[in-house]
Order: sequence, then structure tokens, then C-alpha cells
Amino acid sequence: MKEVILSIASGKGGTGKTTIAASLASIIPNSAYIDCDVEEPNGHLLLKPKINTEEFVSKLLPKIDPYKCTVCGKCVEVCEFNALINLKFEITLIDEMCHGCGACTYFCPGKAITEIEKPIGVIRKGLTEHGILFIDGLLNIGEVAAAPLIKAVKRKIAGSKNGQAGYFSKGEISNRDKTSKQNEISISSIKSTDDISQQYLFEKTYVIDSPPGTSCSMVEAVSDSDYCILVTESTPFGLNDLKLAMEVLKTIDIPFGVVINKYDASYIEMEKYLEETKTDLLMKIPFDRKYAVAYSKGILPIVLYPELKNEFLGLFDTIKEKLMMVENV
Amino acid sequence: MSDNGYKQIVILSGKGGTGKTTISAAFASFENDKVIVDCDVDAANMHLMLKPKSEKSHEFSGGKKAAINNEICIQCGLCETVCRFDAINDFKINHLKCEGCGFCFRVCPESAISFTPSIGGNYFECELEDDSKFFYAKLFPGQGNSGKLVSEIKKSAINSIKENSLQSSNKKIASINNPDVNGGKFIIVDGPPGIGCPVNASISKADFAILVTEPTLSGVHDLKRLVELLNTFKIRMGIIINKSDLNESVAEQIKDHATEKNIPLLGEIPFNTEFVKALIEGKNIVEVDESVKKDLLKIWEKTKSYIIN
Ligand code: SF4
Ligand code: SF4
Ligand code: SF4
Ligand code: SF4
Repeated sequence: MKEVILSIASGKGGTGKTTIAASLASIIPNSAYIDCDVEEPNGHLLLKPKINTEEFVSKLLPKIDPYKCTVCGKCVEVCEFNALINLKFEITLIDEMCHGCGACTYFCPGKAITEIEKPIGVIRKGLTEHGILFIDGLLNIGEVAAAPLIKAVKRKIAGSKNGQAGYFSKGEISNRDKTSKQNEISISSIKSTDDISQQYLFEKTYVIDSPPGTSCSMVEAVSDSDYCILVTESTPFGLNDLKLAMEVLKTIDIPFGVVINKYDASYIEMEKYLEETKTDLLMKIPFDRKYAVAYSKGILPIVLYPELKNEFLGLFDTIKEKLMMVENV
Repeated sequence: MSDNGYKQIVILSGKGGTGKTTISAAFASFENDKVIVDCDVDAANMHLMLKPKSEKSHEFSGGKKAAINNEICIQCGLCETVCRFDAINDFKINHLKCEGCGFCFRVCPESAISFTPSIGGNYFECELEDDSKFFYAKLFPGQGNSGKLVSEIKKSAINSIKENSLQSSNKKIASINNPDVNGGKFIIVDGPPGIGCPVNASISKADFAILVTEPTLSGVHDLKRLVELLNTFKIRMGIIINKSDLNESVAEQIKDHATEKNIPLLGEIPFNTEFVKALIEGKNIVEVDESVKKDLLKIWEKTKSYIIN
């Protein structure tokens, strides 16, 4: 298998999804960390990448030329989102309601509509100290639709099923970067890092940090993944939201397993449910205040606590097996 | 903007896991005359804690979805070309990706595409033990339109108040937790995570926003973005730092940011494992821990003084 996409999702926010995604990206050889939680991207706080490119992402909005428009009303009729309003003497657009579908432009008989770009956010790319590729998206404040930005972030993944525009490679980053030498050093150093004794199995592993929840943004982020890790916690809230997230993954047919974070043995319902539904339990991370403290400072707990790092190496092994199974089916 | 004297308070946290729902439920328990709305339609949780005694389900129409009738389709490919949401592939429409724009339906030369309303989820109108009203919703997985659903449940919450005041109720209002709290009328909204469309819908017309944060770098990061959003909507707000002793220096950063932005600090709650214990037992935190209850009551009183001013 050449490239794999591993997404990390969670029905509920605050379960530790980002910590788990960033930890995996740190221990998997040749990995890239892709933060698709564009409303609240936090991965950069833990991985501390050096950002070397920023790219603005826009959506298309129709612009009506008042000289060409005959106020025939066709555009208003075809707009499903009531974004266009007929004021009798002119047509006006409510930006926030427009989904940029392009129907009005296409159907305007007088060719009075052109489309203009409106920025919705930015995609940042860089490398971490340890040579992990880093990409995230940051939604502009006040912008309502996260899904188009997530889609744009995912296009940066080379070889992804959506991505003709997937051109992103380590080589390119170093070419673009003015301090490319430094980056090349860090890239080569990861290859010799001996605490990664794992065999190289995949040419590249993209670890996608999905937005929480189960809405269209989450679907956009996890779709096309080879495998998804659902992170939950030992509370009834965690279980409730896990069930919803599992439903989504079943609908879009993505294999998955579960990590219970802040594991509390007294909450037995969680494991009971996983057993009943024959869901793979990949790992349990006990609740420990010191992990929370490390996180609060923006430090990955695996950096400080080797026992936790071993757990993650084990998790990666388990996932590798799952991915091979997926591959063989 | 209040409805029949009800003040709308929305509780937000940027990211999840900060204890927002627990705190919302605690505040709600302090008040007699209230309506509670859980606006996290993606992952509704509050009902697990409030355990309504009755609920009435309503359908939410989430917009239209397109489907291709493959017996009529001549595979010209036009629909796939025009669809901007990558929803059409091999003359099949992926329901989860379809935004419901209707472009394909209008463009198909053979009228092979149907375009019909779909149910996007349900919302529930509930009654709690103390006879107050509680609303929550469940968006079907993978649906867009969460903002629309948030607006819809908020609207029905407000309507329920109007109906109720018409009947000028004779309900047996009695709060078990705090009978002597000084009265007020509140719509308590547990907001969704993030800063996207459901959040915008949840804060519209709010009188005051309570931002629950925690002293972690990501907490600060998310908080700043939320503050900016609320400022663009000109909504007044206050900050609560939960798990405040987790990292004192980050807690200081939050306080500095609050001072700089002229936002009142409503209170701090030290890290407490009782929060999780209450969740696991399915209880309101105020029933579990007296000292937390006292702290929260103080914070709520302070919050109210800001709301009323
Ligand atoms: S369809 Fe074109 S001409 Fe007709 S009202 Fe719209 S913009 Fe004007
Ligand atoms: S692009 Fe689509 S959503 Fe936007 S105004 Fe035109 S028809 Fe409406
Ligand atoms: S309705 Fe719009 S989004 Fe849905 S398949 Fe047709 S063109 Fe695509
Ligand atoms: S436009 Fe109509 S006929 Fe053409 S491929 Fe699509 S559904 Fe088939």
C-alpha cells in the first residue's frame, strides 16, 4: 500500500482527538498531520510546525451586472437557498445564504451574472521540528460554511481520491521554503531516528484530525479515509455521541475502531456497547491529571511519558493490521 | 431582545469537553422560570442529564435532495459537470454530499432527476420534573443545515413561552435546588461547539453569552476566536474558567485577554473529578457536590448582575 489516510474523529468535542491525532502523526514514520477541524484548529499548538506557506481559499459568489440584468427573476427562481431577493428594480444577494452552487449564473438568460471570489479561510502548510508534514485550515471568523474549506484542505493530500490538485510533497515544501536546508536536515534526521524501529509499511500516512460532531463537516473530513479512529470518553455523553459517529461511518462505509480516552473503569456501559456491536476497541487511555497538564502547556503527553508512547506504538501496530485487512478485502 | 421578559443566555465554549453542558444544567437548576434549549444538534447531550419526563417529537425538514432515475438517464454527464459538491459520480448521487442546490435537477435534459424534500432530523419538545420546558434536537448524521435546525428549535422554544404566558399558567413552580434564588425569566441555551453556522444561529438574539473555557493553550486559542465572533455580533459576554488550577499561567493569560477585551471574569472553578462522576451517574453536579454548587451559584448570581445591567 502506498499511501494511507487515517482519520481521527469524535462525536463529541474535547475527548482528546487532537492529542491522539498529533501523537500518532509523531510516531508514525513518514506521516503528515492534516487538521480539518477548521473552526477550531488546535493541532499546531501541539506540533508547533514552522509554517512556510499560506494559501487563501475562497468561495464563489455571484455578482450581478445591473446594466445587463433585466430583473427577469430566473436566478431567484433557481436559487434553492433563498440567497437572491427580487427587489423589483434589482436583484440583491445575501452573501451568508449563498452556497456558491453556480445555478443562478448558469441559468441567467442575459448572462448578467459573473462569479467573484470571496475569501473564507486560509490553508497553512509547514513542517514540524521532526519533519512531519503539517497542513491545517483556519476558517475566517463569521464565515459559516466549514465544509468547502475542509474540502480545499483535503485537496492538498497527494493521491487522495478528491485531489487532482494534490501536488504537495516534502520536496516541494523544501523547494519553496527559503530555509530549505534546515528542513532537509530535519527530513533526513527522521529516517535515522532510531526510536522508530517500525518497518516502513506505507510510503505516506496522512493523519486527518476531523472536526467534532457528525454533521456535513465531519463527513467531508473523514470521507475517503482508509480507516477511522473514533475517540470517546467514559461518560454517558461520550457513549451517546460515539453511537452517532459510528452511524455516520457505517453509512459512508469506512472501517473504524474506538479509542477510549479518560478511561474510567466504573463506567461499564461503554465497553458493554462495544462488545455488543462487535466494535474494535483499539486502546484505553486512563485518565491522568498529568496528561491534562502537559496538554494545557501545549506539550504532547507522549513526549513526557514513555509508557504512553509505548501504548501509542502499540496502537499504530494494531492499526497497521487493520489497514492490511482492509487492503486485502 | 427579550421575549415576554425572558432573557436569552447562551453558553458557549469553542471546543467541547470544557464542562459547558454541566454548567448550563447547573445554572438552569437555580432558576424557576426558564426554558432550556440544547443547541448542540450534532451531538445533543443535555437530555441525558436532565432526563425529561415527557417528550413530543417533531420532524425537521432539512432541505431537498436529488436522486437520479437510472432508467431514464441517458448518461450525458451534464449533471456531474455542473454539480459543485462532488456529489455525483457514475450517474449516482451521494446523499451525504448533496447540498440540495437543485442545479442537476434543473439542468438534466431528460428530466431524469428527482428533487424532493428530505427529513433532516427531529426535534423534541420536553417537560422536565419541575414542569419547565426543555428543547433538544437530533440532526440525522451527515446532514448539513444544522444552523437551520438550531434556529428552528430556538423559535419553538420562544413560541412555547408565548403560548404559556397566554394561558397565564398555574403551574407548580418549585425548584428543589434553590427555592430562594431571586427570580428572573431565562431562556438558557447550551450552544454548539465551533464558530460555524450552528453557533451563529445559536447566538442570534442572545442577551448575553457565557464563555466556558479551560486553561489550556487550545482553550485560549478557541476562546479568542469566539470573543471575536461575539464582538462582530455585538453580544455582551462573560468568561468562566473551568479546571482553573490545571495550568495557572495559562489561566492568567485568559484573564489578561479578558481584561484587554473588557470582558468580565464571572468565576473560576478548580479542577474537580466530581464533574465526571456526576456525568457517569447521570446527575446534575449541584446534586452531587455541595461546594461546587455553592461556587456555581455565586457565579450565576454574578452573571445575572451583568445580564440585568
Ligand atoms: S436571471 Fe439574470 S437577468 Fe434575470 S434577474 Fe437574474 S441576473 Fe437578472
Ligand atoms: S450560487 Fe447558488 S446559492 Fe448562490 S445565489 Fe446563485 S443559485 Fe443561489
Ligand atoms: S442537488 Fe446540487 S449538490 Fe445535489 S447532486 Fe444535484 S447539483 Fe449536486
Ligand atoms: S443530466 Fe440527466 S441524463 Fe444526463 S447524466 Fe445526469 S441524470 Fe443522466
